[in-house]
Amino acid sequence: MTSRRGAVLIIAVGMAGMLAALIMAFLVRMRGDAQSAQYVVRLTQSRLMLHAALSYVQEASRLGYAQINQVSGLCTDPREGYGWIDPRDPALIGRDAETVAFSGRDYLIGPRDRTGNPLWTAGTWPAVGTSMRAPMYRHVRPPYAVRPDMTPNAIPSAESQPETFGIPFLIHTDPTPEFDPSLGIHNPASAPQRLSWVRGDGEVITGSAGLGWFRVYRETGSEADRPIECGPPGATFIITVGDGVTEGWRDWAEVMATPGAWSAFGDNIAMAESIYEQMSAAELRMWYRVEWSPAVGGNEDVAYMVAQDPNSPEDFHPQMGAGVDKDTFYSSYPLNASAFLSGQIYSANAPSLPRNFVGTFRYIQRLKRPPDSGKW
Amino acid sequence: MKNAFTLIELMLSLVLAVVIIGTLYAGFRAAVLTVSVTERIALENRLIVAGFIAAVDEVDSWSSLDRPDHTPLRTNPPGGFKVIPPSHKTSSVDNSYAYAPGGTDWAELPQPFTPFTASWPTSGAADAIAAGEDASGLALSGAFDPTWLVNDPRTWYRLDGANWSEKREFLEDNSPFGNDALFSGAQSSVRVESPAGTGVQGDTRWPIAHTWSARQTKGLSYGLGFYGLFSYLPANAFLDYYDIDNRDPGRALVNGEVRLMSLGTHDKVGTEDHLGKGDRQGMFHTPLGFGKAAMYSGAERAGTRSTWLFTNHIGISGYPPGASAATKQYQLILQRRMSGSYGRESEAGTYSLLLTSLSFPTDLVAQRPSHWPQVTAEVRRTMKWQAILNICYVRIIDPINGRMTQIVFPVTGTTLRGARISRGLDAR
Repeated sequence: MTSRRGAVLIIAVGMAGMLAALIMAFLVRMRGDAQSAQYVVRLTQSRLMLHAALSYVQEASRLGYAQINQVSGLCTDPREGYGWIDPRDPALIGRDAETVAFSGRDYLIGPRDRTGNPLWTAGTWPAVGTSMRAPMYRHVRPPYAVRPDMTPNAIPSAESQPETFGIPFLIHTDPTPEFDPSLGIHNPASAPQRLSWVRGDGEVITGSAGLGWFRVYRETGSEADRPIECGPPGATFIITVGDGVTEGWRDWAEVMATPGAWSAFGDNIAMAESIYEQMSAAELRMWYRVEWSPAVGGNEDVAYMVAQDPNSPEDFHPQMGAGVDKDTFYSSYPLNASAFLSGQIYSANAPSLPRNFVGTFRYIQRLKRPPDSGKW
Repeated sequence: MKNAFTLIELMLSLVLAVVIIGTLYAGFRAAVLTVSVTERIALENRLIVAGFIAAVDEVDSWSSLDRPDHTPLRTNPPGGFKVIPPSHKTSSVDNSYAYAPGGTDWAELPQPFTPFTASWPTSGAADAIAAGEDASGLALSGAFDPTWLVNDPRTWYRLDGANWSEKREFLEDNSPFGNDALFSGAQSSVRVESPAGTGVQGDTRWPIAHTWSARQTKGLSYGLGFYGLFSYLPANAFLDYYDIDNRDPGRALVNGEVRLMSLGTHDKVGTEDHLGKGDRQGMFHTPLGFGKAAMYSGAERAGTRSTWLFTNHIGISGYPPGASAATKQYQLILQRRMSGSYGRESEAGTYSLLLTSLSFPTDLVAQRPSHWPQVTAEVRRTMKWQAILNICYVRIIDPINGRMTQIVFPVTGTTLRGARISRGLDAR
């Protein structure tokens, strides 16, 4: 009897050992896979930062310059820019003396306001020759947030709600502003609610920080390694993207140039520098040059071009005196005028296409290394 | 008392032993198989990761189309450049091929990675017909201009020159807004219609006021092909310029010869040579896709770059090392084709055809054990729905069971112009 129990024990131990070996093999393999996929995650995060940077450059060409009263939450100066390269004739806004020349052409560097005043201060972003950095993270509630509610005025269905006979009365604003919930239900006349909406809640959501950043340098045109065919100075930017926790600081010297910035990396300067350098070395950084253009091409002209004869879709071209809907190219049906649709003109008559009012990019150029000029 | 097993005990113990050994064997075998499968999946995962990284890198590097040891898109056109006459079609003469039929002239034409110094001459051409004018309309353009400022009057659209010189039967509005041919064009002068109303070129020349925009557009189209043209043009640029073949006075003018859009075939209703078949290259005559008239004339009105890209699609293509002459020709004809199928066949049909014609999968581990999966990566670069699309394809094919896994994802990255700037190809 004793020897039989021993045999069972040996078998049980053998099977357990086999299971343990299997588990170990799985764990080791999973760890290996996770490590090999880590680069994919970093690459993806960096590419997302490129998207973010491109969006920032586009929007900052016009937006972000309005002044908001931080007490009332009201806009006191609704300025907006006219683009990184001002598309207006400098003479028409009395700014001939402020133009710069490129390839024989004069133009104004922006962004400038309606009257042509620069929306920047010399030596600070977004002036040419300066840079900005954007460590990315999520706010608990971003400024000017809108509640993600597709149906703020849904048809009441609960019996406890007042009878509306199936009518979705527009009793709530649509979209609905997001503000501090402690301020109660939305009241458009409430100043505290508006201020809360304007300010948002800047607290960083744990886990969202340290995953990526971008920084943007606005080229002057005098950078030694910048080819002239890159385009007009003022419209080209060096975008740097990274996936790590260095918050977009270019190097430790730049960190130290900003009072107190080192404390984000350690309890004392020596430790912080060591941590920063380690994190910087582990980061995936990529550099791009892009050229912004005020040209937009959201197919706006389609909105003016097609007035087809629903009964004869091929006869879209104008025929003098042929009828109201054939006289000119420049008549059009209203958007989403489904009454005019037919099988062949499905996209012609109802194109809600005009879009993109913040410019476009002429090109994107990945740089093999940081610019030799050190300007980025 | 007995000191030995009975026969029944022995038999039972033997049976039990066999069962236990069998179970152990099966368990061991399962464990071995599991480890093998795990290793296999891990290998596939690593290969997929490698494919993903290779595809994303390709988006920025463009190395499949241009790298130091393989430059399929850097043709060096003999004699500087090939004269591309505007298409010319009369009732008796069909000279509408702006480019050679079937793409046989691919080596004579600049390709997307040909330097502008080779594709865009800045001196007068040998066949210039008069002082200050050349047959191509490019020589006086001063080469590629990277500026293209919105406030620069030279970039503004000056209406369609065809609105004046069209033979009347082809243009139904009879140019009620004036003689637009005098405003802009790729040539420096234009022969006026004579006698008036006949649509026939006379001997009298009138100067054209603005040539910069037309020549830039024509130069980009000629020097880069259509994908390159659309890559370089600003979003709001009009794809429309006047480029009459004024070496041939006395012949009738037709609307097919005067616009960029007319570089391709004339209308062949029912036998339209869609992408991948037919013997002509050039833009289709369905720029806006709104019916027969637009197809026939190359649009009776101009459209912007974005308008074109609303219903049309284009791509850029190369060939792998060791490709046959036929493959080279087939792939490079795609640089000067544009398919837009509105009203002809489904969008999905021509776009799918374009998409599957553009690239060749790159085997990332060519020297591998025979039982290893094959992993390939490729990037198909198209323009569609007003967007530049870099669509990455990573495929893994298991030779043991034939299973294929494909990952498809779009990536934003370096554009053609960015790639050319990196290589110094735009330098003047």
